[in-house]
Amino acid sequence: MPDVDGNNFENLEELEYQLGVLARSITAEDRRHVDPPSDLFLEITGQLANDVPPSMPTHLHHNATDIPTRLRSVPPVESDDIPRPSAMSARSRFEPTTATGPSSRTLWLGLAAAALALLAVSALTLRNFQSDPTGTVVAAASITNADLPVATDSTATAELIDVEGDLRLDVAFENGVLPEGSGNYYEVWLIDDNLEGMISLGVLNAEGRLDVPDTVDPAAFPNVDISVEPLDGNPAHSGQSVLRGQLSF
Amino acid sequence: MKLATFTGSASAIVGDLGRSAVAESRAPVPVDDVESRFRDGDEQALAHVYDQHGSLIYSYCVRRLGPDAARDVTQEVFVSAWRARHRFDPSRGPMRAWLMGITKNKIIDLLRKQGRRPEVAHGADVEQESDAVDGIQTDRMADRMVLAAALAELPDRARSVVELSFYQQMTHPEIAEATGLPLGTVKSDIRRSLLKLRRQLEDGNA
Repeated sequence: MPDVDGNNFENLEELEYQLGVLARSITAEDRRHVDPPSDLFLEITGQLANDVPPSMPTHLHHNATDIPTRLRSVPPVESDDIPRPSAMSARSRFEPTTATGPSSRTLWLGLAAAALALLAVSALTLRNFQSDPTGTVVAAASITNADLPVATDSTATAELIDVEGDLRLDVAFENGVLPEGSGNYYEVWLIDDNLEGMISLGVLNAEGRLDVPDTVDPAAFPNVDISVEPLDGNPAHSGQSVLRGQLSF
Repeated sequence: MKLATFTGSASAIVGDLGRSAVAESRAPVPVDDVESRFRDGDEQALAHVYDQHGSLIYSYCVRRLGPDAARDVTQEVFVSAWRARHRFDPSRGPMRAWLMGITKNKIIDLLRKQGRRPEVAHGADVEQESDAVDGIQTDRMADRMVLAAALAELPDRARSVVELSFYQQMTHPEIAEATGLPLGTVKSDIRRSLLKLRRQLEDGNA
């Protein structure tokens, strides 16, 4: 395209001329749009559903990847094919929509559910947590098994990290690992002191890092809870907590 | 403080309250602003964007690469676009131009991998090779396809006026006389349309 100043009438004349030349060269083939194969969108969502946090060490992969429930976060990935202007720090999450919409969206959620059903929960061998030098620890909790419905010898610590305004919760196991289960997975929650509200931070994967939505005030939901959840598609807390602790700010 | 153990039924109620409280505290986004919702991670917006632009992207890829490679590249374009959604700013340029830019980069990658020169636009449509003056990056075929789509999106009156200029090569006074519109209306229709069309042809997010 010619380098034109849009406010200059003379240059708009030039633009009109150039676009006119281009328009007159448009062919019928240029106007003809062929639809992609009907299963292509399913392939796209299927590929996105398999995204895992890029920093997960590959040697911790087992038969299946850890797929967050409801595609909670597909993290941004750097690619040379994407032009890079100034950095943006917007975080994004999938929210399940309950309204009717295009069938492609239904396929995506259906695909996520099918993929989750194939998930084989394996022993979580969380690494010893090292503080991220670029983040600030704003709260910590010791999370233990005392008086909880599901028994374990494991204990863990949770740290709330602030990285340039974005919050995440890092869970690290101090001894042992959570028991391996078939047909279930571990989910991390923040619960308020009144036991009235709880927020799911998502599936606990081997990395142990969970984003905290920026609409959540963790001081209002200071109780970290890890529950054993069945693969039944029910998003509610199962009631089967295995580890719990309160964040100290 | 010790928490009581949740029972199954109580936790179901508490879970719903907690989740809906989170959902309602999110900032509202205009319902019809698909491109902003895409950038913000709304999965439904990805479906909309694919519905709106998938055919154009695929058709362009077919003409440049053939149907088999076109399928793979089209998939990669939308996967990459979603993964890079945080880098797309709707105020800097339209989604279609951004997607076409990603598409061209992927075509170049593929041609290089195959040992073909992206400087010359090889592809299924041999007649169009001479159109790629500087190669895929400034591919006139892509520009023609995008211009055709953008023209179809102009409001009816503006499109009629612009078509008289482009295809009949009429002057503005001639257009005013032919349409019965005031000359000022013709000029402002043309001016606004030219700026819209140029915006569609340039990737402001590059």
